Amino acid sequence: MTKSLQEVLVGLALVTVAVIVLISISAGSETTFESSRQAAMTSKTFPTILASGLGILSVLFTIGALSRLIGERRQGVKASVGLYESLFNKTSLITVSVIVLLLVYAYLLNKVNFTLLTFSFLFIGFFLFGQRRLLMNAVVSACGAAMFYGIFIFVLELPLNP
Amino acid sequence: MFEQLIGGFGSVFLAFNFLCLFVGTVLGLFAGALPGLSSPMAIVVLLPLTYPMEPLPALLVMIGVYVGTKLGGSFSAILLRTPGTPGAACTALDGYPMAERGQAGLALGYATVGSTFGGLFGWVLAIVFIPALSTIAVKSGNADIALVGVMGLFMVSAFVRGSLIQGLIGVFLGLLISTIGLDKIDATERLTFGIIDLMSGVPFAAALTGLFGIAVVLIDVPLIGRRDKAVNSKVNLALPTTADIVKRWKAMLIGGLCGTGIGAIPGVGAEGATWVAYAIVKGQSKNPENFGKGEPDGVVAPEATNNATTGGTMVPMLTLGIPGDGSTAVILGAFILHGIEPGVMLMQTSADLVYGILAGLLVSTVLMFLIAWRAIGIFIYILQKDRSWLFPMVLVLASLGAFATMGSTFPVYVAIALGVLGFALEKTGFPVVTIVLGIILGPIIEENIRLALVLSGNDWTTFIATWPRIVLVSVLGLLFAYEIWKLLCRRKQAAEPDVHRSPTIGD
Repeated sequence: MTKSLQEVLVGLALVTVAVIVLISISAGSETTFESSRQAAMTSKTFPTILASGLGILSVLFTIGALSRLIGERRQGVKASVGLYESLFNKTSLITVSVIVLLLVYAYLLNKVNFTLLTFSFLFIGFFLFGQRRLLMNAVVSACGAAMFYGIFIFVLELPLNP
Repeated sequence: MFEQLIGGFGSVFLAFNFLCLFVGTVLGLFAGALPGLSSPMAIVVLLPLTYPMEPLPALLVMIGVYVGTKLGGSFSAILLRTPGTPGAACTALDGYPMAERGQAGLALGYATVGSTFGGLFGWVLAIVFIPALSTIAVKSGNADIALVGVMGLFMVSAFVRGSLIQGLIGVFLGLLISTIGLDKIDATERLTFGIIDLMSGVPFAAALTGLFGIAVVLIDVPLIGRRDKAVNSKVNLALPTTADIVKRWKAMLIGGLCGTGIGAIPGVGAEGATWVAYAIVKGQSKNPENFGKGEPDGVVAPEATNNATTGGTMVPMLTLGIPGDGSTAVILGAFILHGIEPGVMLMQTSADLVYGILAGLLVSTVLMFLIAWRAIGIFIYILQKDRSWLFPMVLVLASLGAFATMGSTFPVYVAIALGVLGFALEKTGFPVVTIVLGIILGPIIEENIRLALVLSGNDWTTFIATWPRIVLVSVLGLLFAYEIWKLLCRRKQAAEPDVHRSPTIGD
């Protein structure tokens, strides 16, 4: 995937965000205070200006990226890595795995034993980040989990153990 | 002022506070030395650990990290040719060639001396300017504060890496995120989409840990398995002689002035300042051809600049509540999390804290020198290790830090979502620091604009009603016109492929 194509996709996503925000703000509830409704700047003004600005800038950015993309296609420039390879290479898979691992960690955070959960997260995390010595992973994970238990439950007294 | 400064030193030298500063400086040196970690990231992961502390020791930890990373970045720049921090990129140009010819210890010595001088120089100028500017700033009205905030955000967008459009998009995104929740004046819901947890807005610490913690780890995934080999792994720091240091006075002075002056401009940060200082020192050198081949001034000047920015960035942060770079943006966030409102009234409401921070800045600079001088071997050992042991720990710290803000898992999801957003945007060249600055300054700008309009009876001309405001608006207009002109020039040059374009600073 070329950089221009990435930029086009990001630009389109930003335009979508701007449109969603504009719709949400205009459909939102009105203020109940009469004096606020008569103000030069209501609660809707600032986000509306920002969303409009974001939309305009995103459109400009997307147009710029699109023109670069079209220029590259005309010159026959190809990405050094194809779309399939860029989505399914080792780095991308590790990145997605880390995100999934984080989401699972967040979901289970207040549902299972904190020390066990953190140990598992660290163990899998070290493995994903390339550490293949399982015994060393287990030892460091155990030390890490104990350290975080000490800091966050013992010292900061967070309600982390259900 | 002197009594308050002495009081500040007195607070810093209390046992616990000094310990916090010392630990922060050591951690900063480590974080700076390791390529892939950044100063904002290091400060962000320490943020939750400082929740139970009083504001001053909490901020001293962060100041220590901030100062330490400045010098730490030069270790890997000199020994690995990979800067540990963006501000140390320039140091590699001459530091690495020095290391290659067997002068690694001396290069590290020049870097340490330059950094220490720059830090002291920046501190002196900060001490002079901050009280004076605070006196002026406190007389500002709501409109002035709003205009300064807008100007700060525009300058960040213009000077940060990437294009102006990308910088502005980041700023607008950050400002939009800051509007989520109940409006402070009307109590109307904005952009909550029915999610009750969003009524109080996006959890601030979660935003910081996501954008500066999780995003950075995701960006560094390609570094997995990389072990860097230092040019000389058994080197010891060799301080240059007094005569040699005196010979480098011009380079250090230029570095100090550039660092403090340019560092005070929001958004430019150390990276831009070091390149400017390097170019000036090279330009006025008798032997410019030596630069890039191991010229000591080429190490001293950027390192002096790097640490001088710590004083420079304190000026807008402590007088106006506008962060100078990503690290001070996180430190400002720490102010808010500890119940201290940054801004023009900070010197009036929390003078003890401000002078404590300034005293801490000086003490941390001295500690940085002493620790590097005596214990550099430990940092050299660590920087050659695989960073994959560190990243999962950082992710856990970031997640738990987000959890600690509300005692629930919602902020953790917010941190992950913003981390993914930050990662996606950084990959396409959007600087994440602009989003953070938008989140921090958004409420200040909106509240002050609305208050200014209410006080003026809905009259928009209040924003040009006084000479200072006219000047601010004019500066904003001129900056905007300059950026548009730059953009048009670049487009014109791109359309003429036969014209040879000389590389410019920052390319």
